[in-house]
Amino acid sequence: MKEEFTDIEGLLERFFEGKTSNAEEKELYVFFNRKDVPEHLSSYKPLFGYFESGLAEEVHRSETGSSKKPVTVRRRLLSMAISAAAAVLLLLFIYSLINRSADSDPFEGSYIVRNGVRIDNLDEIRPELELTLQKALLQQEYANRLFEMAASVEDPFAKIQQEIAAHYCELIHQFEDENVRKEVQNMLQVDCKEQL
Amino acid sequence: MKTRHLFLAILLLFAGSMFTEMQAQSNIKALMKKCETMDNVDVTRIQNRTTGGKGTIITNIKFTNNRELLNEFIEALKKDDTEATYITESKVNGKMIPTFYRFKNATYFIKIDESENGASISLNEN
Repeated sequence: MKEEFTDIEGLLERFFEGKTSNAEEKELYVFFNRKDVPEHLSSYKPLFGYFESGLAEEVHRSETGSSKKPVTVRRRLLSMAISAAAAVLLLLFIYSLINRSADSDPFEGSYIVRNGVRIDNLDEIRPELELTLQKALLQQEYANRLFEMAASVEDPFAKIQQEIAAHYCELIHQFEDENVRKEVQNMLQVDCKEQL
Repeated sequence: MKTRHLFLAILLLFAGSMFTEMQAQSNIKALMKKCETMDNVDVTRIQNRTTGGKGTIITNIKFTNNRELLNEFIEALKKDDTEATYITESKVNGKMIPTFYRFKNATYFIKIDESENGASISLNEN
């Protein structure tokens, strides 16, 4: 027994010097996990308990860490695939909304209400819908022409101002003295250079 | 932090412009919707998809012998006229009657018949 303890003490010394092999360290862990550890060595028990569990945890972490990479790559590929599929579905849905098939009725969603009663049957109300649509398009055409006319009309006030300025300039040019011409231009607030 | 504030400011501006857009024509549109539940008022709503996409939505309201509804429409048009970009009016029996309203995405054509206390109102939405 004493020899065993001496061996253990020797191993301990080598352990703290960092000279122990894995087998020797395992021997120390096994020893300090026993219940009958002598008192003079019992202070080392918690230390080897930590080392055993702490190291075991680190080993486990390094093992799981090294195996995480494939899982992360797999997950990333899967999420990318799902995102791409969702984007394609969304685009298809938007495309279908914008470009309805030729079979769908252009008046789909239209209705007439008479005395509070709604009539949705397109076959029944189609002639009236078409007539109302024609009227609305004609009205729109009329409105567009109205806007074009309004945009092309000159500002009458600006035209009058130009004519008055032209008459002033004719009178101003009769003055021989250039300084007098400039003074009169300033007084009347006209620029006769523009009129030339 | 500054980027977040800028983003929030842009979002608020956008929301504000959307709200203003929604507020425009609110009185007329509400009245037109109400007409669908009234007696002796004809409402025609056409969703024209011939041009593709959402198309044009045309709503036509016609009624006669309803002085009260006629006055409501004139009131509603006056309330919404601040948001209109173009308005035309005609003088009928000494009174200025609106005949045309244009908003950003909608045009109203109004034909009021004072003698019959009726009107025909057409709304074209793009």
